[in-house]
Order: sequence, then structure tokens, then C-alpha cells
Amino acid sequence: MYRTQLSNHIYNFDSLRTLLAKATPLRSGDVLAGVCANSYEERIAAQIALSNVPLKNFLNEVVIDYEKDDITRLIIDSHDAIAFTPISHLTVGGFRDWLLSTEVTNEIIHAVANGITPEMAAAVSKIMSLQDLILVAQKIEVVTKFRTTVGLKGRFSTRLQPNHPNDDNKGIMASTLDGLLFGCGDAVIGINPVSESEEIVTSILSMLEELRLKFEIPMQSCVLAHYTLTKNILDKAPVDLIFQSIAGTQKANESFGVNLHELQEANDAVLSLNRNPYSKQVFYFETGQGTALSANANAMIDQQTCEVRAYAVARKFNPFLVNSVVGFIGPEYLYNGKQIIRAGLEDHFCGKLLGLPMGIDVCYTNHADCDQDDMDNLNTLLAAANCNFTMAVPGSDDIMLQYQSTSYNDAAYVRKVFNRKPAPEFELWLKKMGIFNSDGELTSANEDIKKLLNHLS
Amino acid sequence: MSIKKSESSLIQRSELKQFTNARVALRTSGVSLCTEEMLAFKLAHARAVDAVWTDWNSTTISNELKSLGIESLLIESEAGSRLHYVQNPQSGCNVNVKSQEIIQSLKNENAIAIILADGLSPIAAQEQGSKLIACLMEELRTLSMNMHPIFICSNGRVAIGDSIGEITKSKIAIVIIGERPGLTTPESLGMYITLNPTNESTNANRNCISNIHPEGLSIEQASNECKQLIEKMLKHNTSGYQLNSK
Repeated sequence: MYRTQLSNHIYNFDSLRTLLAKATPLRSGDVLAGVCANSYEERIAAQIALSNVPLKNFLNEVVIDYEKDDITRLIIDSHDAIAFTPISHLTVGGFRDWLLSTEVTNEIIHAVANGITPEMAAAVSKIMSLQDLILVAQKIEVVTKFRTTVGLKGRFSTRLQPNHPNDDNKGIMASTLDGLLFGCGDAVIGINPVSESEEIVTSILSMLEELRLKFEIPMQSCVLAHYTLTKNILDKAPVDLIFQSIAGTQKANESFGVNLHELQEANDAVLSLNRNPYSKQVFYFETGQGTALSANANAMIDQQTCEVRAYAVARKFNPFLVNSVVGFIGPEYLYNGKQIIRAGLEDHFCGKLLGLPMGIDVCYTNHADCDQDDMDNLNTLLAAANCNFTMAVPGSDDIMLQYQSTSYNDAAYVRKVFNRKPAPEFELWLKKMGIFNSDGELTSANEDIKKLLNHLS
Repeated sequence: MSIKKSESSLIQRSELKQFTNARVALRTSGVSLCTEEMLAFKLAHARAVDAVWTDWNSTTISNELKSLGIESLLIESEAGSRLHYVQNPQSGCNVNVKSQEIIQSLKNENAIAIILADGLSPIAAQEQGSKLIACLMEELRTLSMNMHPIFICSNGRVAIGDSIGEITKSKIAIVIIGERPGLTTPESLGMYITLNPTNESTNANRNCISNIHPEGLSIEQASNECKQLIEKMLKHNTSGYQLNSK
């Protein structure tokens, strides 16, 4: 039992799960799930109570039973008590102050990361302002390496997302080339397939492999099919990264046909291809607040805590990229620009705090109360927070998934305003091709660019 | 796909547009979109938002159908308002008490129930609904099954067909619904077909025909596909993903 006594009222919260939910800044998904605070005052009362909870409590009181949920077991069994030592005396509120203090650097946060559980990260984020979320996240550098190095300070990468409504190879290639000419694609060139067909996935991967080899592009490709499909084509398709959407409860993952044991097998199978010369990072995960609720598997946990629990799954597999597709799920989970912006910054912060290479799909659907101004805000705030990567969709308009994300231009804007460069290997290639001039500015046509475009003919 | 080569026989960046409807090769000023491109995008978004929030006029649709000799009934989901509907998807899945009373008497185990729902694009249902229904009725005539009056349902989601199927004991439910609008296609309809629809039915029990609009799948193609799906469902006595492997 947790409680806050205010002058006019005593608020009681029967469990840590309830306390976390009631302390969560307002969002439509928690209203829909019936777990949110009943008033603004109750929300702040919950935040006050939460700020006084010792971090140690999170190791003794779980939000779903250990016996019932494999993610709870993963969180508890993989907790690093030694890494936890420097923060083990803190409350949630004390943890916030500790994270914000100037003495606590990137190295110190990395050293405690494996002692931080998802619920601790979620808890502290709930009592942090947007400014706090940015200030702490920008300190944390999570670097991953495949053919490019992603996440270095002063760098900003993108997933080029050249989707096509019929999985048409030439259509995908046209968007890919247009994106490369904007300096995009250094995190991954990733296609969401319409069809879950081994033949089509193989065909897209083979086409991108040919492009990579012909123009010696330091890049990774990925087709975002279910991991069981990707695992089946490893003998015939050039698979760099294996993809899967994951959620924060066992039941939600089951509804996506995901289990931890099979994820491990898939990870090991892709690693055995030895296509990543620099690290053992071959997974690309996507997540998003509201996923567990949409599968009726939220177990009365608020959607942000569920989201951070999904990061425990991601962390287990030392992924190359993790991406929260923050506004994709729709207004019943994140109603408007305000809710999407806060959720994007929370997800980025919590992921980084747990040591993940976080990117954010800054996005919205047309039935959300949101527009490009909100996306400009979130994109800019994430750049300030040193987000590892965002999406690069032609003209912001994904004609396959029917939603709006960030564009090639948005990436170029971040590079310019924040003086960021793409991943170093990719930057060199852009200069070699004359896509960037020696100052790193985008150029117009030259002979090499024409050669690249002519790849389509 | 044939490629229009430029004079130098090399592809120019602007020619990328031949290969995809994606917004490639946009004109820029500096790193930003030029004014014309920026406003074109905002216009597309404005239309998509309007498609979600503009109420339809279901009486007009009912009158259109009547003039084509097709009977219909106006019903409503439990949502009550558009705002509640958008925030609470479940509220669009059940018919409200008043509508239950209207359809209560229509029980028929050999009937097809066609439901037209506004969904997330009432404009799509308003524009194309009656034409699609007329074409579909013509196609379905050869199946020699009974037809319920068309249920025109305000603030309905796809699962409204299960709720109606449960009450009317229908053999087949066809939900024709305004799809979530995209920027390029704000007025697209989808069609969801379920065999033996009940409150226990799930998305796994449905087959879907989507992207029905003038630039996508035509009304005639969609109607024909729907008839073929129903024939297959009746033959194999199943619908949904299990039908895909038949």
C-alpha cells in the first residue's frame, strides 16, 4: 500500500502497478484501459508517493507475477545487483536528482544500466519534465556498429523507409535512391513488406544487396517481416538484420507469435551468417506504447510501463537498432500532439537509460489530433536529446502504411540546425559520391549521382 | 514498366516519379520543401482530417438506395458521438439498444447482411456506398440467398457486423466501411466478410477486400471478388485466415 496525505485528502494506492498507472501523465490509452488517475490532483498525489518509493522496492514488488510472465522472469533473473549498488539507496525522486546531477556522466549511467529495471526507468520518467527527459538522454551515448557506426555524439542517422503499396521493386528502388541523394539511410534501409511472402522478402533484400555491392555503400538492409519468416530464408537471402515487433507482456508477445526462446534462436541463426564484421548486433526491434493494450494483454499495467518492459526483451539480444513507432497506433492510445511528443521523449529516455540504441519514428495517423507542427516539435526535441536515429520517408507520406513520419528533408534540417553528421562511414561515402560536398552540404547533380540514378534503368 | 529516358539517356531525378506514387523528387529550397510542395502536403492532410471528422448524411444514402429499389434501415453503434467513437474503438463494435430493437425481428439463417458503416472515412461511405451496394447486390443475386435490408450504421467499426450477425443469425455479414484515410487516398472503402458472424467472431474469421476507390480497386472488381469469396466460404464452411489455405 502506498499513500499521499494532502491537506484535503488522503490518497491510497493498493500496489506499485496502480501507483505507476495513476502517476502517468494523461494519455488516452490509460483512460481506455481504465487505469489512469481520476483527477489531476490524484495524478500528482501518485507522483509524490512514487517519488518516495525506494528503488529496492521494485525488486520485491513486480507488476505481473513472476510465475505468469516470462518478461518479469527475464527482468528479475537478469538484474545485476553489483551494477545496482551505486543507486540502491535511492528513492525514485532521489534517482531523478541523481540522473540530473552534473557529476553523473555517460560512463556512470552505463555502469549502472544493468542494475536498472524497466519499471524503475518508467517510474523515474513519470516524474520528469520534458526538459529532464532531454537533459538526461542527451548525456547518454549508446553506440552500435554494423557497416556503419550509429549513435556517436555529433552524429544523427536515419532509417530510410522506401515502402511501396505493392512491394514493387522499382518503386522501392526509386524511393531508396531519392533518399540516398538526401544523405539518408545510414542506420538501415528498412522496408515494411505488404506481403508476408518469402519470395518477395528475398527479392527485396537481393535488390538492396546488389545496390550495396555495386556502389560500395556502407549500409545495412532489412525487410520488416515476422522473424519466423526471415529465419526461414537465411539460406537464400542476404539478411543483415532480423526484425521483430515486441511488447511488454508475455501474453501480448504471444498474440504476435513471439517467444523469447525463438527470438534467441533467430538471433543466433543470423549471427552465424557472419555478415556483421564489427559486432554481434543483428536485431532490429520495434515497439510502441499501447501495443499490449491493443492485444488485450496489458494486465492493468499503464501503457508506458508496458512499453519499457518491452525494452527488457530488446536488451537481452544486444540489438543494433530499437525504434519506438510512437504515434502509429492511433488516437485511442495517444490522442494528440502533446501526448505523442511526451511519449516519444519518454521512450527515447527510458531506452537510452537501459542502454539501448534508441530511435524514434516521429509519426501520426490522420485520425489523431496532430499535424506537421507537432512532428517538427518532436523531431527537434529528439535531436536536442541526441536521439540515435529517426525515419526518413519520402515527403513524410508512407503510401503503404498510410501514416505520416519524418521526411528526407526533416533529416537534412536536423543535420543543419544541430550541426550533426551522418554515421562516419556513410559520410565518407556521401562525399565520395559527391552527394555531400567537402563541407558536408547536399549538392545537386554530378556524374556519380547520375550513375546512381541510372541503376533504375 | 517503361521508362521515359531523358535526352542524355540518363535518368533525371525528377523521373523517379515514374516508378512510385511516393513523394519522391520533391522540389526544395535549401534543405526544405519549396512553398508549393509544402502547401500541397498540407492540403492532402487537411482533406484526410476532414474525411475522418465530417459527418455523413445517412438519410441521403438511404434515399439513394431506395431510388435503386433497395431497402435499408438506419442504425447506430453505442458510440453516441464521433469523438467518443475515435477514442473508444470498442464503442463502435456494438449496435445500441434502440437499433437492437429495430433489427430484432429480422432473424434469418440463410441471409446475407450487408452493413454500410462510416468507419474512419464517412466521406468515402457517402460518396461510394450506394453505388458499391447496388453493384454488389447484382453480383450476389446468383447465390440464391436471402438479403436483409441494408444496415446503414453510424459510428460503426468492422466488428459491428458480428453484433448484427449475432442478433439476426445471418449466414454472412459484409461490412462495407470507410477506411482510415491516407494522404493520397482519403476516400477509400474496405469490405470485410465473415461467415456465421457472432459476438465470438474475431479478425481471424474475416476476409478483407481493401483499397476500394476510383484510383484503386473498382466497385465492379470488389463486388466480383466478394461474391467469389462468399462462394468459397460456403463451399469450405469457413472464413478468415483458414480460407486462405483452401
